[in-house]
Amino acid sequence: MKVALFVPCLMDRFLPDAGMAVARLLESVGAQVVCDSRQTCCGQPAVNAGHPDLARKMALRMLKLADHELPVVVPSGSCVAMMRDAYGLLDLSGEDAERWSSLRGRVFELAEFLVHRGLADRVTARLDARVVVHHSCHHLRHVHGAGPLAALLGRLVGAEIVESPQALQCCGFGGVFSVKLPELSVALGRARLQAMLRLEPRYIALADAGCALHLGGIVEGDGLSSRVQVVHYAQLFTGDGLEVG
Amino acid sequence: MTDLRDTVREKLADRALQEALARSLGIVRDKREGALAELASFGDAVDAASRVRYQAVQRLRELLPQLESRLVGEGTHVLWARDAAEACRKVVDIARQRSVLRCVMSKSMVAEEIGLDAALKAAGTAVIQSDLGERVVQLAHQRPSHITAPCLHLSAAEVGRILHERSGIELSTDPEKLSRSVAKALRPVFFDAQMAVSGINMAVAETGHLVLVENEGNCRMGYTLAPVHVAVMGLEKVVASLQDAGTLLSVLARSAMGQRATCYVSLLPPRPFPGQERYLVIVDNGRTDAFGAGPMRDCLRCIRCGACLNACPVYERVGGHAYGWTYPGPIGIVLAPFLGPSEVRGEISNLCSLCGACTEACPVGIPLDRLIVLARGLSHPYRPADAVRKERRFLKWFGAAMGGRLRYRLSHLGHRLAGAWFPERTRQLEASLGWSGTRAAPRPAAELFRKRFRKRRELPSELGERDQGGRRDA
Ligand code: SF4
Repeated sequence: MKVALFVPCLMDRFLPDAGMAVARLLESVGAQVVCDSRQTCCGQPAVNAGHPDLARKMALRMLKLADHELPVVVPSGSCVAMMRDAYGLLDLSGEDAERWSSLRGRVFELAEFLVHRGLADRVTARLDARVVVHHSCHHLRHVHGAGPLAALLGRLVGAEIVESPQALQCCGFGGVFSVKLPELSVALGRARLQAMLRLEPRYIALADAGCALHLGGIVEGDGLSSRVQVVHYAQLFTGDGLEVG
Repeated sequence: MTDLRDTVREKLADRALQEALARSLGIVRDKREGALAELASFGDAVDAASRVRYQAVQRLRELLPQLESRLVGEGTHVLWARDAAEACRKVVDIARQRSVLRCVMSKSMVAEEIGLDAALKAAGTAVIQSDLGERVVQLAHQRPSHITAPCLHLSAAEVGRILHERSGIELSTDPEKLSRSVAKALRPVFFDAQMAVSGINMAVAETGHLVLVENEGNCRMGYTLAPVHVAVMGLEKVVASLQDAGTLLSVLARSAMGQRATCYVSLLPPRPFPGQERYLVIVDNGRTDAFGAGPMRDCLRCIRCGACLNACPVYERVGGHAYGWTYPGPIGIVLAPFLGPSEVRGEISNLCSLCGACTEACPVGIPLDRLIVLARGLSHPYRPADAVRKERRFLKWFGAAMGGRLRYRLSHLGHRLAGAWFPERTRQLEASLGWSGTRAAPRPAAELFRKRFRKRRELPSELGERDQGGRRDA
């Protein structure tokens, strides 16, 4: 099966290991991964900052590049939510609206794709470590991705997946929010982090690049890098970029 | 509004506030979860309530005249007010005509919104708030910080101290005891009052009933004893039928404070009590603008339960006063473009990380996080022009960098080189964006994912065959 992979800008630039993990995980279940290197950003920052006019161009570009029949797999909940729902804020019409309605039906978050297509059963991987999943808000509430993610993580032999109520609450990233009110953003992130660290995980896994950079930044800033690593959940399966020990 | 970031910093540093918020919201959230778990079909109840409110808002033009004619036919006076000033003037006129010197007021967000308390006071009418929380903030010369729990920002000890110092109530930290003492102290006030002012939770168009929901019984005391009862409502508060009102009651208390039901639910029939005069003041104050604002119209569905505040991680950290006006939290952000004073319309929508916990909590299905994005779009005219210009310039630059493969790569390279050649400047820039010190800035990778992916593909050994599709176009 052929799938079109869209690795969002933040992951492409700052977390390429996560991107590699996503590609490899897809390939490991037999998918043929294609990745259009003209893809950049879906336009989310401008939409969320309240400038839909400035997001339009990016969205139209994205729609044009995704004007094919393949399923589009995106390893980031917020980008999926953007393309699936929030493009509705851009007053698309004509050809663009058609492209959007086609894309909406075949854009998937990674775990969602693997589970819905019955591919998750083919995943075989082992990781002997304790992991806390922090549920990124868009992945949780817009993509409703908690179920598929749990199902996929169930395939990770040896891993101890622990839950935390704080892991269901916003990490404080929020895109523009993180730079407009940085103290608040960090305070929220640190509160979640401290709650999760009490469970002594080796890894904190997320389904969104932005949240991972934010929480990872706090881990580094607070000198906790030797204790815990913030990763994209795909990395748990392939080992890309995982620090061990 | 002072600089929002400064306000937030100040709130974060306020230990007492942080403790009070964490404590109260922790309790409310637990209680709500319990109350929802009890009702197996809460989802269905929410769907039904959403439909009721959606339809009521769609049919406002028809329901409001129906309500008016039901009430007027039975002898309740109906007054319309376009804005806050007109609403206050009309209530003050009523007070003047009857030489009202003492008025008892039960909790009303609309009264708070239009500044009725101050208007009556200025006209020579003393106003006593009879809701415990409202009384506390009144005595402390503060403003409510929550829609349903006005003094949520205060600890029990602070409440006890305020009541003791400002009105001689025996010092205590026990909420039960305090509320009993206040109720006792207020008793003569109710008998003395020449006018009672209340809000209402719903007005039923078909029958003319006014529905009032409360826990303390103060509202009921007020409208029962005073010779004049003035009820104030936002024009969106109308519902079609008693059946609809019941549907909303089934979600209201559960969402609000996790109660099965409130202690008191009053259904005031359209005919005033014998010997009493009743007025209903229907306030617009920006609601018509919201009605005409496309998808933002959904904000009129709100039944002011406060669940979105209780669920909000930002509210939990900054408290209600940081929002700078009557309605805090997510609902405050989406009402501000229409009902809010212009000084809050600029920055308030930044008090949100778009996590969507509010939307999940709302019992009438308002897509709050989506509306907050739209509210941001409406905020720019009220923000400092240079801030908006800077933001747009940055986003345009970002858009340009993302506008093509080559530009994308060059901007990445630029970022990397800047970090290598001008580490100090780069750090400063990152710090100005808030990514410094306790939160390390993300570092651009030596090699983009796309490059690594393609390189790997060009190693024929790994895949067995060369995948052309992997190179470029899907
Ligand atoms: S927006 Fe919804 S959750 Fe918030 S106060 Fe209104 S009804 Fe309640």
